[in-house]
Amino acid sequence: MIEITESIRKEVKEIVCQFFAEECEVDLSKINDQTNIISDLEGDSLMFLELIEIFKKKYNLNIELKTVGKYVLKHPVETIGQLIDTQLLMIKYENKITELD
Amino acid sequence: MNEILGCGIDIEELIRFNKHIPSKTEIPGFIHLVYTDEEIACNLNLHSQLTFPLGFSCKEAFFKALGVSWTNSRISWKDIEILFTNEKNLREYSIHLNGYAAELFLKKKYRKIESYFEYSNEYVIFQIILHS
Repeated sequence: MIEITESIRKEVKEIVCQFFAEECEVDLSKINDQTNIISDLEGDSLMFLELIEIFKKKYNLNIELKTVGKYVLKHPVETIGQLIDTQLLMIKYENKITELD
Repeated sequence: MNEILGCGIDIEELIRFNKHIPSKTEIPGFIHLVYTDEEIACNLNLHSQLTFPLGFSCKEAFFKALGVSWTNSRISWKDIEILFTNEKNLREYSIHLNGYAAELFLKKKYRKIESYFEYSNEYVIFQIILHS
């Protein structure tokens, strides 16, 4: 299990915000924790999947997409802040994220 | 009576897939997230610049036709499988449902899948219609 440090937290936030700023062609300054991924950024499934793959690769995570799906079913991700929190939990718990419920 | 019970349509920009299109020697992790081994093997041999985006668009259209998404149902991307079978004619393909997609299909008493796609140099678009 990876321990989530402030440095990792900051890095995850930067990656997520930078990713959406580039993909959605939005100024980085306009993205914050309350930004709604769909209504404010027109985010879509492809972006979400790409992000999962980015973090899987970066942190060498053992996590399956169906596990992510199961977790998100009970913990919907609508905002950037929720996405960051979910990504941090995925990094910390990997495939065991669903055992948190 | 043959009724339309669900309809889904999806459009994807080809350029967004360029970085994910695998070669026979390197398959990005993203591809393994979404496509079955059989889809990957099939698409690698057949206009992969089109078949991968078409496959993704088909799956998205199917989610929409079922009235769910992969984040609010138990259906996985790999539960919906589209296999293109003819290198010279992409219109020859088959759609297979597995796992929870198959379960939901039966539970909702769908009987027939109608599907259409079109593509240009920039986009692919896929439509799925589910009939009773």
